[in-house]
Amino acid sequence: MNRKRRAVAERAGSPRRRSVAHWPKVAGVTDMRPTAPALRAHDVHQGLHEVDRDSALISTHLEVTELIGMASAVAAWIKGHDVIPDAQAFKHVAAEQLDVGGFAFDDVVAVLEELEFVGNVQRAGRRIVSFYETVPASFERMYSQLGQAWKDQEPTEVEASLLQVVDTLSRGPVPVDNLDIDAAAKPLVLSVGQTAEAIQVVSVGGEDIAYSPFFAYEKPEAIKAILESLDVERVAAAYARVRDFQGAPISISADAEVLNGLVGAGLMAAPSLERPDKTRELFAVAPYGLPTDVLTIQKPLLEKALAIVAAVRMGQHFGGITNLDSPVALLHALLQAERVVAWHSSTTRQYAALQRQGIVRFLTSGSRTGITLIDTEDNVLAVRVAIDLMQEGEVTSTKGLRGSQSALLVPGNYRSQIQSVRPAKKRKPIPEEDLTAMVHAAMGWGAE
Amino acid sequence: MTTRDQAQKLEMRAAFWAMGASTRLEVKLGALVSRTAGRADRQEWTDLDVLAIHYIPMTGLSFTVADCKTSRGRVAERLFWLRGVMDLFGAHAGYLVRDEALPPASRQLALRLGVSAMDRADREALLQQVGISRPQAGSFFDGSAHEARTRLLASLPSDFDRMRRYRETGYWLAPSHRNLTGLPGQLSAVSDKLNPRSRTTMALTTDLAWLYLLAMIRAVDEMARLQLADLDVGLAQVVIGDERERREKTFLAEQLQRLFEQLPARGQRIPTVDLVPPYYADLADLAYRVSRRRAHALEALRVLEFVGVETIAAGGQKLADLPEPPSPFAVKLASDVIRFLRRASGLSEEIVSTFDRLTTTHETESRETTSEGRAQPDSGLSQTRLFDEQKQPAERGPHQ
Repeated sequence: MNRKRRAVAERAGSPRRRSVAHWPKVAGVTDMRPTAPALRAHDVHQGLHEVDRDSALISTHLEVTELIGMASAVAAWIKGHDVIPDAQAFKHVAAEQLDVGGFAFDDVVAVLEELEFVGNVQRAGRRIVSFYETVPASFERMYSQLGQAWKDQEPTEVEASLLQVVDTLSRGPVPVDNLDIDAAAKPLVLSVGQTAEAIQVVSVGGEDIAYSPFFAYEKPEAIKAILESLDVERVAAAYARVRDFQGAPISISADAEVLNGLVGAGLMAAPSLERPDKTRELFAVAPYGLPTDVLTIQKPLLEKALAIVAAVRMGQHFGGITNLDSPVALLHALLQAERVVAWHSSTTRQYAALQRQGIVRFLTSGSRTGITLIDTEDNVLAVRVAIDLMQEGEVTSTKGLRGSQSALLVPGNYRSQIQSVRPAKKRKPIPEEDLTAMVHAAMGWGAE
Repeated sequence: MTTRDQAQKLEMRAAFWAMGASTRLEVKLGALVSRTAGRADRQEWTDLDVLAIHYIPMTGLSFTVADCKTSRGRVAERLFWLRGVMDLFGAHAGYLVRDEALPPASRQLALRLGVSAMDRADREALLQQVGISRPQAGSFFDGSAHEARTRLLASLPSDFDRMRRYRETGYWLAPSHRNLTGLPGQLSAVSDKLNPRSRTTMALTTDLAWLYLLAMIRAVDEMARLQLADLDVGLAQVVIGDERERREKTFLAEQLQRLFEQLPARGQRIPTVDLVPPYYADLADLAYRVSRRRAHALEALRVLEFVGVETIAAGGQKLADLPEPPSPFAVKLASDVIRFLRRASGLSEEIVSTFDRLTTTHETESRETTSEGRAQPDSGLSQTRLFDEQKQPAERGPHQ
């Protein structure tokens, strides 16, 4: 929202106090993480796969979210391709696989062009002929910039609230009364969310509980049953903790009781492996944001990803003589062609399940055994889904993807602490450009 | 340098190009010295007549240098000199080029020193062997395109003196990793003087992109050796340095930040002192792309060289005109470097779009249509539209 409109809105008071009919468009959700609006827009877009997008409720209230959701889907798909030499062929792919309709394609490319996620867009008349892919290497940066674009497109209050709810529910179920949205708007937001299949609501003991259908194991009856026996806050807290640490060993978790309940109800995955003491350990995983095909026809891929998470968490917590320091680093190494990792004496125990599923093969030298990836497309993707789950808590780099795509490169965080400013008065200020020049010279960013 | 020397250089450059390398003529080597009255702050040791660069991901960068002289005699002395230059520069191969017949003893010495001795007959044989039935590439191989670029860059006004010194000598004096941050700094200092519709601007930017890609290839090679699975670790080490340098810079950054906080602010923003430059995320993107397309990195260098010299400076042929146009991935990688420099140095977006228009090898015909709607090739006429030949702030006259 531009400054003038924002000033007008501020003078008029909080938008929450006004009726839905008079809501102005707003800048969006301010307290979400920078990546959240685009990630959740992507969720909503994926969730609309089986829904009539032309229904009045959706087309009226989710215009910006749909656009950014589609842009996110396209950006994630083209990332790493560098050159799209036949944009018309890609347009078909986008329509078939990414649910980006033909009429929306040009608008989506325009959004990406504005973000400099695509460049050198060649057009013949109105037809897009080819373009370069210039999507940032870091998914965090990609979703952050798309999230900013979502805000810049001035989404309505309804879609802003909807994405906030979807983001809240991505960490577990919440009573509808506790959702942090305007009471007057709540019915419409829930209605749009349920029509778009982005929110589900069950009634438990007279109380409506909202939960996300984007978790891999979404079962309304089971949710209802578990919430009748367990406190919703404990369930939400357990979900949130598993989202923060996917593959948490249940036996040593503070949420063991709740997690066992969720696993027993089939609401959370719990691949199990044998510990060194011969007992079986369950590892809680709450996969979130997976593309629909991974939940249906590609279910074996998800099962492989879960097995991988369990195996490396086993190494991390019950490694035997030595524990695994960085499971994600091991998985990155495993993705390298012919690379043999995890050389130690407990490897056959920890990774036997992966060997049986055809994900890795063992190589033995003396008393030690290592593993190497059997690099089928499914195996590579399963490892990457596992990395996503463990690193981000949800699917990001592999969101909506099939086939080989680029690996994740997260920019370093080398910021030093910004000290509070205590201006020394009565001194002549140094121009900002001089200070900047000093920084550049001091840090070696100038040539001489 | 004589005209005859120049002919030798062009022949060796053509031979190196035919063998798959990217090339550069007259690279000056020297050292920075303390500035005193009447003395420049740098002194030249020597120059490399022809530098050829080759890159294969498996073996890394390799450099070849050629010493071209039409003067007679002192061959043994020059061979020892060339060996020293090769060691200094880290060149893997060296060519001593003469017109006169070389004595057998000199050839034996050359062999012992790992230098290829080339008199006129050897040179002709080499050109025959590498198949120098010169590709149809306008004036790229006959020297006039190179001279056109030299003239263009010499026409830069005095505002560009610092940039000129950096491009000619400073770049080669600095440790390679310093150029990753040094070059954008140099470019941003003159960014407001660069007119994207100037042929000189495009020639300069393209040449700087060539230099930057070379520095990036070195960096990516180092990153790949350090930790290929996590390039971020390697990039941080390349840009910031090892742990000792990181600590020194952290300390320096903290001291600067404290100093800034003591200054009277009076409304102006206090800059944040980071360990990495503001464009680090873009730098990481580029490093990632170069790493992923390492197999196309050498070709991207050649794209930048050809486009800068032949297409832009000489107004001649384009990549699409070549019998075997380069891979679209190489062209894209070259564009990525230009795109990075635009973002890091605050250049006009038009510089990127002009470069892309000059280099896109696929579907360019569809962009240009006649009034009847019939497609026509993107010809030199397009260049006239791209460049404002009459009014170019960056070409106000020769450097005084």
